[in-house]
Amino acid sequence: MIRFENVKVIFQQKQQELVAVNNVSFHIKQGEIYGIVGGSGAGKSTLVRTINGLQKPTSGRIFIEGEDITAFGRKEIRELRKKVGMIFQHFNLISRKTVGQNIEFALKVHNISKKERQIKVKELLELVGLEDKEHVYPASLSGGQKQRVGIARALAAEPKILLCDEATSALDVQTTEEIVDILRDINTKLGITIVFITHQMEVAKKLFTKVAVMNKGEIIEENSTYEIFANPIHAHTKELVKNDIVIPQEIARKTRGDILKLIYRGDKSIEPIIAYTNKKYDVILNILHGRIEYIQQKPIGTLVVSIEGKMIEVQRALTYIRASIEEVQVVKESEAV
Amino acid sequence: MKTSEIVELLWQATKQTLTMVSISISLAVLLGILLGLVLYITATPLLYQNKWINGLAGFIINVIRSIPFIILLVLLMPVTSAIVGTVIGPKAVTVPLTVAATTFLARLVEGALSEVDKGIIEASLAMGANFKQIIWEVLLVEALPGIIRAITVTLISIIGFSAMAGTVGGGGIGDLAIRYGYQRYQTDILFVTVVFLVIVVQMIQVIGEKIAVYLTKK
Repeated sequence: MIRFENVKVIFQQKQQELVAVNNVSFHIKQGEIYGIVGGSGAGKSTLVRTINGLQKPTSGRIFIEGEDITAFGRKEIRELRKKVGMIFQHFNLISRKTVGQNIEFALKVHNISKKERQIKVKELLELVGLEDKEHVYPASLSGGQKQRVGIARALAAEPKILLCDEATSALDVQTTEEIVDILRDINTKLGITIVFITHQMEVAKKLFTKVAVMNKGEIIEENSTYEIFANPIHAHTKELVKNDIVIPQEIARKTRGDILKLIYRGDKSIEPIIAYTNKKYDVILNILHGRIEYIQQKPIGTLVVSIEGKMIEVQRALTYIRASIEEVQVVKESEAV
Repeated sequence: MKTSEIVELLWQATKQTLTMVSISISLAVLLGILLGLVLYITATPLLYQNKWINGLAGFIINVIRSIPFIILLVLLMPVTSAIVGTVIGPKAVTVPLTVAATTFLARLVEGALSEVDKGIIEASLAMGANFKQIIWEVLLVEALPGIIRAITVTLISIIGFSAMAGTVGGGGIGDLAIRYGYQRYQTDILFVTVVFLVIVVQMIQVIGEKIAVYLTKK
């Protein structure tokens, strides 16, 4: 669907060149929800803007449905933009047009007749659940509602691709969920390919099917969302997806014995291993903290346990645990008694 | 002087001012907004950034704006003569008034346009909107309250400028104040005209602001 070949974007600044996107090559397949994650200044925004020609690459080629869009002229770019919708962090609605007029403007751009426009505005508002807001101005809407209008407007042209530029970054947690649900719905119902850039890893977890991690203009890692979270390879990715379960210091100090963080992935369950260890070795395993997350319907579990017992037994138990669980981190080692 | 005479004088002067101001503000609104758009569009990377056109237009505007109106009135005489066929009378004054008002308004309109959120322009471009749609449906729509304020300020300045119309026999309220109030020491006429002007300017400002606020939907 969308293929990048050695795409480079260089901004000429007064003193030096700024390489915003550096030699990026990747492929987004039809129907994917493809996420590009990374910190600010990683080049995500610039990269996504090359897909609809808002940013021209300095070198390299971009193919959309087999057509090289970097060779397009002004007119062809305008035609391309009609099949690529876009939504933004700050919604970018026209403040002096009502919700209905904002959507109608998008329809007008696509040369849809007045009569048809009136019908489509209603349909689109229904799609995003804002039937009753047609005649109000954006200023009286909440952030989530504004983004829904943004989505309705972006879908006006029945695009094949929807670009989302930090589309949930200005929203609170609950509203973000709503928008994520709508986007997922659009993806399944209408089959629209979604390209979503964000620094919010929570959104990545919930929405994306595939993730590319960007750092300093380069894509440093690309994989299915589950693999990115379960088995990050690059140090920067590890930092991004880092599991943030922390045991309060006071608790850690009071706890006798070693504290371990057990991380398991996939379908294996952790509980039998805990039970078995308690039974087979002369140790006491105590659960201090735990969390299981499902990403793309597959679990990633994290359990923090303390282990107490005679040194030799603890060692044997640890050997067993290490052999059965993907990742074991020692959080605290007890002082030798 | 009798009250009825003062009223008659004031009425005549008001009609002259009204003629000069209404013709020049109408032309200035058209030309000033156009020029303001040129300034804005040629300065914006998202649209048709062009340093040469922008620099040239900016330079011409700055030159005209730096000339005091009374001197502009004289300097433009050949142009005025070519356009209206005479260099005296209220009609002749409309030419330099229009030129002064246009350049003044152009700068204010440029400011109002640059207040428009760049994200909205980007979003419209991303939709595939063409240049005409961006001008008519986005820029002018979003900047309208600001443009109304710009026109209000320009209108008040033109009324002020039109006081110098007397030097070329243009008449008007300002001219009345100078000839009767200052040169003939008729303080009552000076007083009446000043009060009258204060009321008119206040009204224009209040009405302009009301319209702008009404149109703002933020």
